[in-house]
Amino acid sequence: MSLRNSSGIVLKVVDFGESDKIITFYCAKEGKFSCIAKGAKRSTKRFVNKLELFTLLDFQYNARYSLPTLDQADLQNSFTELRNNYPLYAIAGLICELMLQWTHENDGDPHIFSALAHTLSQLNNQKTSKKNLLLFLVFFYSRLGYQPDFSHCTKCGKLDGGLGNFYFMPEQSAICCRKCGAQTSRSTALSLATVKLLGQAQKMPFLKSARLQFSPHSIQQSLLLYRRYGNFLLDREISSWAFIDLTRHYLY
Amino acid sequence: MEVVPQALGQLIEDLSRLPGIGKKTATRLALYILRRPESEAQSLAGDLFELHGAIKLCSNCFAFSENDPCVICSDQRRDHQLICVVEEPGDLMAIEKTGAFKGVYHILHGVLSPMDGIGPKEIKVDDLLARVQKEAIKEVLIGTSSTVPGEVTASYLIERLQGIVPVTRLACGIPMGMDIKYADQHTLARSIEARNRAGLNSTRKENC
Repeated sequence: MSLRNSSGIVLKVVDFGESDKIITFYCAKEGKFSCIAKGAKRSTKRFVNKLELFTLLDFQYNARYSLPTLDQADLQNSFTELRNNYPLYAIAGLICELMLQWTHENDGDPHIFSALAHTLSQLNNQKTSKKNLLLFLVFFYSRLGYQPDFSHCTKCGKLDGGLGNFYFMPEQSAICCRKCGAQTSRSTALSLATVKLLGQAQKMPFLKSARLQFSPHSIQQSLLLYRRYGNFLLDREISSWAFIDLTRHYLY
Repeated sequence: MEVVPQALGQLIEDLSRLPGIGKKTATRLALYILRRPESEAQSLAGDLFELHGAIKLCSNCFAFSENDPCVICSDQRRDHQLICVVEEPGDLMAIEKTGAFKGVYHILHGVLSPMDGIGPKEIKVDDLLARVQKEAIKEVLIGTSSTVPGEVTASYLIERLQGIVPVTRLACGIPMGMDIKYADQHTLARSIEARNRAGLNSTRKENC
Protein backbone atom coordinates (compact mmCIF):
# COMPACT_ATOMS: atom_id res chain seq x y z
CA MET A 1 0.00 0.00 0.00
CA SER A 2 1.42 3.37 -0.93
CA LEU A 3 -0.58 5.70 1.29
CA ARG A 4 0.09 9.41 0.96
CA ASN A 5 -1.23 12.45 2.79
CA SER A 6 -2.23 15.77 1.33
CA SER A 7 -4.51 18.78 1.78
CA GLY A 8 -6.81 20.08 -0.88
CA ILE A 9 -9.91 22.05 -1.77
CA VAL A 10 -12.72 20.18 -3.53
CA LEU A 11 -13.32 21.65 -7.00
CA LYS A 12 -15.65 19.03 -8.44
CA VAL A 13 -17.64 16.01 -7.30
CA VAL A 14 -19.02 13.52 -9.81
CA ASP A 15 -21.13 10.47 -8.97
CA PHE A 16 -19.62 7.27 -10.32
CA GLY A 17 -21.56 4.03 -10.51
CA GLU A 18 -23.90 2.97 -7.73
CA SER A 19 -22.03 4.24 -4.73
CA ASP A 20 -18.71 5.85 -5.65
CA LYS A 21 -17.70 9.43 -6.26
CA ILE A 22 -14.82 10.93 -8.22
CA ILE A 23 -13.43 13.95 -6.43
CA THR A 24 -11.21 16.60 -8.01
CA PHE A 25 -9.11 18.65 -5.60
CA TYR A 26 -6.66 21.46 -5.94
CA CYS A 27 -3.67 20.73 -3.73
CA ALA A 28 -0.63 22.83 -2.96
CA LYS A 29 1.71 19.98 -3.86
CA GLU A 30 -0.15 17.81 -6.38
CA GLY A 31 -1.95 20.60 -8.25
CA LYS A 32 -5.22 19.41 -9.76
CA PHE A 33 -5.74 15.95 -8.38
CA SER A 34 -8.55 13.44 -8.95
CA CYS A 35 -9.27 10.32 -6.95
CA ILE A 36 -12.10 7.88 -6.42
CA ALA A 37 -13.93 7.63 -3.09
CA LYS A 38 -15.29 4.09 -2.94
CA GLY A 39 -18.71 3.80 -1.32
CA ALA A 40 -18.86 7.56 -0.70
CA LYS A 41 -22.52 7.90 -1.73
CA ARG A 42 -23.59 5.45 0.95
CA SER A 43 -21.04 6.44 3.56
CA THR A 44 -22.56 7.50 6.87
CA LYS A 45 -19.32 7.92 8.77
CA ARG A 46 -16.14 8.11 6.76
CA PHE A 47 -17.04 10.61 4.05
CA VAL A 48 -20.34 12.13 5.13
CA ASN A 49 -20.44 15.94 4.61
CA LYS A 50 -16.78 15.92 3.64
CA LEU A 51 -16.70 15.38 -0.10
CA GLU A 52 -18.64 18.52 -0.90
CA LEU A 53 -17.78 21.41 -3.19
CA PHE A 54 -15.38 24.03 -1.80
CA THR A 55 -14.48 22.04 1.35
CA LEU A 56 -10.89 22.11 2.58
CA LEU A 57 -9.78 18.62 3.57
CA ASP A 58 -6.75 16.83 4.90
CA PHE A 59 -6.87 13.45 3.22
CA GLN A 60 -5.05 10.20 2.76
CA TYR A 61 -5.03 8.37 -0.56
CA ASN A 62 -3.70 5.18 -2.03
CA ALA A 63 -1.58 5.98 -5.07
CA ARG A 64 -1.18 2.36 -6.17
CA TYR A 65 -3.71 2.65 -8.99
CA SER A 66 -3.82 4.97 -12.00
CA LEU A 67 -6.86 6.63 -10.42
CA PRO A 68 -5.87 6.96 -6.74
CA THR A 69 -8.34 5.81 -4.09
CA LEU A 70 -9.35 8.14 -1.30
CA ASP A 71 -8.74 6.34 1.97
CA GLN A 72 -9.86 8.88 4.56
CA ALA A 73 -10.65 12.56 4.81
CA ASP A 74 -10.60 15.02 7.65
CA LEU A 75 -12.70 18.15 7.32
CA GLN A 76 -10.78 21.39 7.93
CA ASN A 77 -13.25 23.97 6.68
CA SER A 78 -16.49 23.57 4.77
CA PHE A 79 -17.11 27.31 4.18
CA THR A 80 -20.73 26.77 5.14
CA GLU A 81 -21.89 30.31 4.41
CA LEU A 82 -21.36 29.65 0.70
CA ARG A 83 -24.23 27.16 0.93
CA ASN A 84 -26.63 29.75 2.28
CA ASN A 85 -26.03 32.48 -0.24
CA TYR A 86 -26.57 32.01 -3.97
CA PRO A 87 -24.47 35.01 -5.18
CA LEU A 88 -21.50 33.87 -3.06
CA TYR A 89 -21.95 30.31 -4.29
CA ALA A 90 -21.95 31.54 -7.92
CA ILE A 91 -18.68 33.43 -7.34
CA ALA A 92 -17.04 30.46 -5.59
CA GLY A 93 -18.28 28.24 -8.45
CA LEU A 94 -16.68 30.55 -11.00
CA ILE A 95 -13.35 30.40 -9.16
CA CYS A 96 -13.49 26.59 -9.05
CA GLU A 97 -14.41 26.40 -12.74
CA LEU A 98 -11.41 28.58 -13.59
CA MET A 99 -9.18 26.39 -11.42
CA LEU A 100 -10.43 23.30 -13.26
CA GLN A 101 -9.80 24.87 -16.65
CA TRP A 102 -6.41 26.38 -15.97
CA THR A 103 -4.56 24.08 -13.59
CA HIS A 104 -2.90 20.76 -14.33
CA GLU A 105 -2.02 17.54 -12.54
CA ASN A 106 1.39 17.33 -10.84
CA ASP A 107 1.77 21.09 -11.17
CA GLY A 108 0.93 22.41 -7.74
CA ASP A 109 1.46 26.03 -6.76
CA PRO A 110 1.32 26.72 -2.99
CA HIS A 111 0.67 30.42 -3.70
CA ILE A 112 -2.41 29.67 -5.83
CA PHE A 113 -3.60 27.19 -3.19
CA SER A 114 -3.25 29.81 -0.43
CA ALA A 115 -4.99 32.45 -2.57
CA LEU A 116 -7.85 30.05 -3.29
CA ALA A 117 -8.28 29.14 0.39
CA HIS A 118 -8.07 32.81 1.41
CA THR A 119 -10.62 33.92 -1.22
CA LEU A 120 -13.10 31.20 -0.21
CA SER A 121 -12.62 32.20 3.41
CA GLN A 122 -13.26 35.89 2.59
CA LEU A 123 -16.38 34.96 0.59
CA ASN A 124 -17.51 32.79 3.49
CA ASN A 125 -17.25 35.84 5.75
CA GLN A 126 -19.41 37.69 3.18
CA LYS A 127 -16.76 40.31 2.64
CA THR A 128 -16.98 42.44 -0.54
CA SER A 129 -17.54 39.47 -2.78
CA LYS A 130 -16.91 40.90 -6.24
CA LYS A 131 -13.77 42.70 -5.10
CA ASN A 132 -12.47 39.40 -3.73
CA LEU A 133 -13.22 37.74 -7.05
CA LEU A 134 -11.40 40.50 -8.92
CA LEU A 135 -8.31 40.36 -6.67
CA PHE A 136 -8.20 36.59 -7.10
CA LEU A 137 -8.39 36.95 -10.89
CA VAL A 138 -5.60 39.57 -10.95
CA PHE A 139 -3.37 37.28 -8.87
CA PHE A 140 -4.37 34.07 -10.66
CA TYR A 141 -3.68 35.26 -14.20
CA SER A 142 -0.35 36.72 -13.05
CA ARG A 143 0.70 33.39 -11.49
CA LEU A 144 -0.35 31.55 -14.64
CA GLY A 145 1.95 33.77 -16.68
CA TYR A 146 -0.80 35.73 -18.44
CA GLN A 147 -0.36 38.99 -16.54
CA PRO A 148 -1.81 41.86 -18.58
CA ASP A 149 0.34 44.96 -18.93
CA PHE A 150 -1.40 47.97 -17.41
CA SER A 151 1.74 50.11 -17.11
CA HIS A 152 1.33 52.16 -20.32
CA CYS A 153 -0.36 52.39 -23.71
CA THR A 154 1.21 49.70 -25.86
CA LYS A 155 1.44 52.13 -28.83
CA CYS A 156 2.42 55.57 -27.49
CA GLY A 157 3.96 54.34 -24.24
CA LYS A 158 2.06 56.90 -22.11
CA LEU A 159 -0.36 56.32 -19.26
CA ASP A 160 -1.69 59.85 -18.81
CA GLY A 161 -3.45 60.13 -22.19
CA GLY A 162 -5.36 63.39 -22.51
CA LEU A 163 -8.69 61.64 -22.97
CA GLY A 164 -8.11 59.50 -19.88
CA ASN A 165 -9.72 56.36 -21.28
CA PHE A 166 -8.12 53.11 -22.38
CA TYR A 167 -9.03 49.90 -24.11
CA PHE A 168 -7.70 46.54 -23.01
CA MET A 169 -6.81 44.38 -25.98
CA PRO A 170 -6.71 40.65 -25.12
CA GLU A 171 -4.71 39.76 -28.25
CA GLN A 172 -1.80 41.82 -26.94
CA SER A 173 -2.47 41.45 -23.18
CA ALA A 174 -2.01 45.20 -23.02
CA ILE A 175 -3.86 48.50 -22.95
CA CYS A 176 -4.15 51.12 -25.63
CA CYS A 177 -5.23 54.75 -25.14
CA ARG A 178 -8.12 56.26 -27.08
CA LYS A 179 -5.76 58.42 -29.12
CA CYS A 180 -3.91 55.41 -30.46
CA GLY A 181 -6.70 52.94 -31.12
CA ALA A 182 -10.42 52.38 -31.39
CA GLN A 183 -12.61 49.92 -29.51
CA THR A 184 -13.17 46.51 -31.08
CA SER A 185 -15.65 43.75 -30.20
CA ARG A 186 -13.03 42.04 -28.02
CA SER A 187 -11.56 45.08 -26.28
CA THR A 188 -12.80 46.44 -22.95
CA ALA A 189 -13.04 50.14 -22.09
CA LEU A 190 -11.23 51.11 -18.88
CA SER A 191 -10.97 54.40 -17.02
CA LEU A 192 -7.55 55.70 -15.99
CA ALA A 193 -8.45 55.03 -12.33
CA THR A 194 -9.26 51.38 -13.11
CA VAL A 195 -6.01 50.93 -15.07
CA LYS A 196 -3.97 52.38 -12.19
CA LEU A 197 -5.75 50.23 -9.59
CA LEU A 198 -5.23 47.05 -11.59
CA GLY A 199 -1.56 47.92 -12.04
CA GLN A 200 -1.19 48.44 -8.29
CA ALA A 201 -3.05 45.19 -7.52
CA GLN A 202 -0.57 43.28 -9.71
CA LYS A 203 2.41 44.72 -7.89
CA MET A 204 1.14 44.21 -4.33
CA PRO A 205 1.33 40.90 -2.42
CA PHE A 206 -2.03 39.13 -2.74
CA LEU A 207 -3.06 39.49 0.91
CA LYS A 208 -2.25 43.21 0.94
CA SER A 209 -4.12 43.96 -2.29
CA ALA A 210 -7.39 43.93 -0.31
CA ARG A 211 -6.42 47.40 0.95
CA LEU A 212 -7.03 48.89 -2.50
CA GLN A 213 -10.28 50.80 -2.81
CA PHE A 214 -12.13 49.96 -6.01
CA SER A 215 -15.33 51.78 -6.97
CA PRO A 216 -18.25 49.58 -8.09
CA HIS A 217 -17.69 50.97 -11.62
CA SER A 218 -14.01 49.95 -11.57
CA ILE A 219 -14.92 46.46 -10.36
CA GLN A 220 -17.52 46.12 -13.12
CA GLN A 221 -15.03 47.21 -15.80
CA SER A 222 -12.27 44.99 -14.45
CA LEU A 223 -14.46 41.89 -14.18
CA LEU A 224 -15.64 42.38 -17.76
CA LEU A 225 -11.99 42.69 -18.81
CA TYR A 226 -10.99 39.44 -17.09
CA ARG A 227 -14.06 37.65 -18.41
CA ARG A 228 -13.24 38.58 -22.02
CA TYR A 229 -9.51 37.98 -21.51
CA GLY A 230 -10.10 34.51 -20.05
CA ASN A 231 -12.53 33.60 -22.82
CA PHE A 232 -10.00 34.76 -25.41
CA LEU A 233 -7.17 32.72 -23.86
CA LEU A 234 -9.25 29.59 -23.36
CA ASP A 235 -11.17 30.05 -26.61
CA ARG A 236 -14.38 29.15 -24.79
CA GLU A 237 -16.92 30.71 -22.46
CA ILE A 238 -16.75 29.86 -18.76
CA SER A 239 -20.38 29.01 -17.94
CA SER A 240 -20.34 30.40 -14.39
CA TRP A 241 -19.80 33.97 -15.65
CA ALA A 242 -23.41 34.09 -16.86
CA PHE A 243 -24.59 33.63 -13.27
CA ILE A 244 -22.33 36.34 -11.88
CA ASP A 245 -24.31 38.78 -14.06
CA LEU A 246 -27.48 37.72 -12.27
CA THR A 247 -25.99 38.66 -8.91
CA ARG A 248 -25.34 42.30 -9.84
CA HIS A 249 -27.40 43.57 -6.95
CA TYR A 250 -24.98 42.02 -4.52
CA LEU A 251 -22.47 44.01 -2.47
CA TYR A 252 -19.27 45.14 -4.10
CA MET B 1 -11.59 -8.40 -39.46
CA GLU B 2 -14.66 -7.38 -37.52
CA VAL B 3 -14.77 -9.46 -34.31
CA VAL B 4 -17.99 -8.00 -32.91
CA PRO B 5 -21.00 -8.14 -35.26
CA GLN B 6 -22.26 -4.68 -36.17
CA ALA B 7 -25.67 -5.03 -34.47
CA LEU B 8 -24.10 -6.24 -31.23
CA GLY B 9 -21.46 -3.50 -31.38
CA GLN B 10 -24.18 -0.88 -31.83
CA LEU B 11 -26.11 -2.20 -28.81
CA ILE B 12 -22.92 -2.13 -26.70
CA GLU B 13 -22.34 1.45 -27.84
CA ASP B 14 -25.92 2.44 -26.94
CA LEU B 15 -25.87 0.74 -23.52
CA SER B 16 -22.53 2.28 -22.61
CA ARG B 17 -24.13 5.73 -22.95
CA LEU B 18 -26.27 4.98 -19.87
CA PRO B 19 -25.03 6.49 -16.58
CA GLY B 20 -22.75 4.22 -14.57
CA ILE B 21 -22.32 1.72 -17.41
CA GLY B 22 -18.94 1.35 -19.04
CA LYS B 23 -17.91 -0.64 -22.10
CA LYS B 24 -17.34 -3.86 -20.14
CA THR B 25 -20.72 -3.80 -18.39
CA ALA B 26 -22.41 -2.84 -21.65
CA THR B 27 -20.81 -5.84 -23.37
CA ARG B 28 -21.95 -8.14 -20.55
CA LEU B 29 -25.53 -6.80 -20.74
CA ALA B 30 -25.64 -7.01 -24.54
CA LEU B 31 -24.43 -10.63 -24.51
CA TYR B 32 -26.98 -11.48 -21.80
CA ILE B 33 -29.80 -10.01 -23.91
CA LEU B 34 -28.54 -11.97 -26.90
CA ARG B 35 -28.51 -15.25 -24.97
CA ARG B 36 -32.08 -14.82 -23.67
CA PRO B 37 -35.10 -15.81 -25.83
CA GLU B 38 -35.98 -13.40 -28.63
CA SER B 39 -39.36 -12.64 -27.04
CA GLU B 40 -37.64 -11.12 -23.99
CA ALA B 41 -35.51 -8.86 -26.20
CA GLN B 42 -38.63 -7.81 -28.11
CA SER B 43 -40.48 -7.08 -24.88
CA LEU B 44 -37.57 -4.93 -23.65
CA ALA B 45 -37.38 -3.09 -26.98
CA GLY B 46 -41.16 -2.54 -26.89
CA ASP B 47 -40.99 -1.14 -23.37
CA LEU B 48 -38.22 1.26 -24.37
CA PHE B 49 -40.19 2.29 -27.46
CA GLU B 50 -43.34 2.94 -25.43
CA LEU B 51 -41.56 4.89 -22.69
CA HIS B 52 -41.63 8.38 -24.15
CA GLY B 53 -45.08 7.96 -25.65
CA ALA B 54 -46.68 6.68 -22.45
CA ILE B 55 -44.95 8.79 -19.82
CA LYS B 56 -45.07 12.56 -19.66
CA LEU B 57 -44.52 15.26 -17.07
CA CYS B 58 -47.43 16.16 -14.80
CA SER B 59 -48.25 19.78 -15.64
CA ASN B 60 -48.78 20.53 -11.95
CA CYS B 61 -45.87 18.94 -10.08
CA PHE B 62 -43.61 17.87 -13.00
CA ALA B 63 -43.44 14.23 -11.85
CA PHE B 64 -43.19 11.50 -14.47
CA SER B 65 -46.68 10.12 -14.96
CA GLU B 66 -48.91 8.31 -17.42
CA ASN B 67 -51.74 10.74 -16.67
CA ASP B 68 -51.89 14.48 -16.35
CA PRO B 69 -52.41 15.41 -13.53
CA CYS B 70 -50.46 12.57 -11.91
CA VAL B 71 -51.84 10.11 -9.34
CA ILE B 72 -50.61 12.21 -6.42
CA CYS B 73 -51.94 15.53 -7.74
CA SER B 74 -55.35 14.02 -8.49
CA ASP B 75 -55.68 12.30 -5.09
CA GLN B 76 -58.24 14.34 -3.13
CA ARG B 77 -57.27 12.67 0.17
CA ARG B 78 -53.91 14.41 0.10
CA ASP B 79 -53.28 17.87 1.51
CA HIS B 80 -53.05 20.11 -1.55
CA GLN B 81 -52.09 23.10 0.57
CA LEU B 82 -48.76 21.53 1.53
CA ILE B 83 -46.09 21.27 -1.18
CA CYS B 84 -42.83 19.39 -0.80
CA VAL B 85 -40.15 20.62 -3.21
CA VAL B 86 -37.67 17.95 -4.30
CA GLU B 87 -34.79 17.82 -6.76
CA GLU B 88 -35.56 14.71 -8.78
CA PRO B 89 -38.38 12.16 -9.29
CA GLY B 90 -36.24 9.65 -7.35
CA ASP B 91 -36.47 11.91 -4.27
CA LEU B 92 -40.26 11.88 -4.52
CA MET B 93 -40.19 8.07 -4.51
CA ALA B 94 -37.90 8.07 -1.45
CA ILE B 95 -40.26 10.36 0.50
CA GLU B 96 -43.34 8.41 -0.62
CA LYS B 97 -41.75 5.20 0.70
CA THR B 98 -41.74 6.70 4.20
CA GLY B 99 -45.52 7.15 4.14
CA ALA B 100 -45.02 10.14 6.46
CA PHE B 101 -45.86 12.88 3.97
CA LYS B 102 -49.46 13.46 2.94
CA GLY B 103 -49.09 16.62 0.89
CA VAL B 104 -48.26 17.08 -2.79
CA TYR B 105 -44.94 17.62 -4.55
CA HIS B 106 -43.10 19.95 -6.86
CA ILE B 107 -40.12 18.53 -8.74
CA LEU B 108 -37.40 20.99 -9.72
CA HIS B 109 -35.60 18.59 -12.11
CA GLY B 110 -32.20 19.76 -10.97
CA VAL B 111 -30.33 21.99 -8.56
CA LEU B 112 -28.52 25.28 -9.01
CA SER B 113 -25.07 24.58 -10.41
CA PRO B 114 -23.46 27.51 -12.24
CA MET B 115 -20.43 25.38 -13.14
CA ASP B 116 -22.73 23.10 -15.15
CA GLY B 117 -24.65 26.02 -16.63
CA ILE B 118 -27.73 25.41 -14.46
CA GLY B 119 -29.29 28.52 -13.00
CA PRO B 120 -32.78 29.34 -11.70
CA LYS B 121 -34.19 29.52 -15.25
CA GLU B 122 -33.04 25.97 -16.02
CA ILE B 123 -34.99 24.39 -13.16
CA LYS B 124 -38.70 24.66 -12.30
CA VAL B 125 -38.42 27.60 -9.89
CA ASP B 126 -40.68 30.01 -11.77
CA ASP B 127 -43.31 27.28 -12.08
CA LEU B 128 -43.18 26.79 -8.30
CA LEU B 129 -43.63 30.52 -7.69
CA ALA B 130 -46.55 30.65 -10.13
CA ARG B 131 -48.12 27.63 -8.43
CA VAL B 132 -47.75 29.09 -4.96
CA GLN B 133 -49.31 32.37 -6.07
CA LYS B 134 -52.14 30.70 -7.98
CA GLU B 135 -53.16 28.05 -5.46
CA ALA B 136 -54.01 28.54 -1.79
CA ILE B 137 -50.80 27.04 -0.42
CA LYS B 138 -50.29 27.07 3.34
CA GLU B 139 -46.77 25.65 3.53
CA VAL B 140 -43.86 24.81 1.26
CA LEU B 141 -41.52 22.13 2.61
CA ILE B 142 -38.14 22.27 0.92
CA GLY B 143 -36.81 18.74 0.58
CA THR B 144 -33.61 19.25 -1.40
CA SER B 145 -30.55 17.21 -0.41
CA SER B 146 -28.13 18.54 2.11
CA THR B 147 -25.28 18.66 -0.42
CA VAL B 148 -23.80 22.06 -1.34
CA PRO B 149 -25.95 22.51 -4.52
CA GLY B 150 -29.03 21.24 -2.63
CA GLU B 151 -28.47 23.67 0.24
CA VAL B 152 -27.90 26.61 -2.10
CA THR B 153 -31.06 25.76 -4.02
CA ALA B 154 -32.96 25.64 -0.71
CA SER B 155 -31.54 29.04 0.34
CA TYR B 156 -32.48 30.51 -3.02
CA LEU B 157 -36.03 29.15 -2.80
CA ILE B 158 -36.41 30.40 0.77
CA GLU B 159 -35.37 33.88 -0.39
CA ARG B 160 -37.79 33.83 -3.32
CA LEU B 161 -40.71 32.47 -1.30
CA GLN B 162 -40.23 34.70 1.72
CA GLY B 163 -43.29 36.82 2.41
CA ILE B 164 -45.42 34.78 0.00
CA VAL B 165 -45.90 31.54 1.92
CA PRO B 166 -44.52 29.91 5.12
CA VAL B 167 -41.47 27.84 4.20
CA THR B 168 -40.03 24.87 6.13
CA ARG B 169 -36.92 22.78 5.48
CA LEU B 170 -36.23 19.08 6.05
CA ALA B 171 -34.40 18.66 9.36
CA CYS B 172 -30.66 18.16 9.07
CA GLY B 173 -28.42 16.52 11.63
CA ILE B 174 -27.30 13.20 13.05
CA PRO B 175 -28.60 10.25 11.00
CA MET B 176 -30.33 7.42 12.90
CA GLY B 177 -27.89 4.77 14.05
CA MET B 178 -24.88 7.07 13.97
CA ASP B 179 -22.45 7.43 16.82
CA ILE B 180 -22.07 11.19 17.42
CA LYS B 181 -18.33 10.73 17.86
CA TYR B 182 -18.13 10.23 14.10
CA ALA B 183 -20.21 13.25 13.16
CA ASP B 184 -18.26 16.19 11.75
CA GLN B 185 -18.40 19.48 13.61
CA HIS B 186 -20.78 21.16 11.15
CA THR B 187 -23.34 18.36 11.17
CA LEU B 188 -23.24 18.30 14.95
CA ALA B 189 -23.59 22.09 15.12
CA ARG B 190 -26.58 21.98 12.75
CA SER B 191 -28.27 19.28 14.83
CA ILE B 192 -27.80 21.35 17.98
CA GLU B 193 -29.27 24.42 16.25
CA ALA B 194 -32.24 22.40 14.99
CA ARG B 195 -32.84 20.53 18.27
CA ASN B 196 -36.42 19.58 19.16
CA ARG B 197 -38.25 19.69 22.47
CA ALA B 198 -38.37 16.16 23.85
CA GLY B 199 -41.06 14.81 26.15
CA LEU B 200 -43.80 12.25 26.46
CA ASN B 201 -46.59 14.65 25.53
CA SER B 202 -44.62 16.56 22.97
CA THR B 203 -45.71 15.29 19.60
CA ARG B 204 -45.27 18.67 17.98
CA LYS B 205 -41.77 19.42 16.76
CA GLU B 206 -41.04 22.65 18.53
CA ASN B 207 -37.72 24.39 18.48
CA CYS B 208 -36.31 24.93 21.95
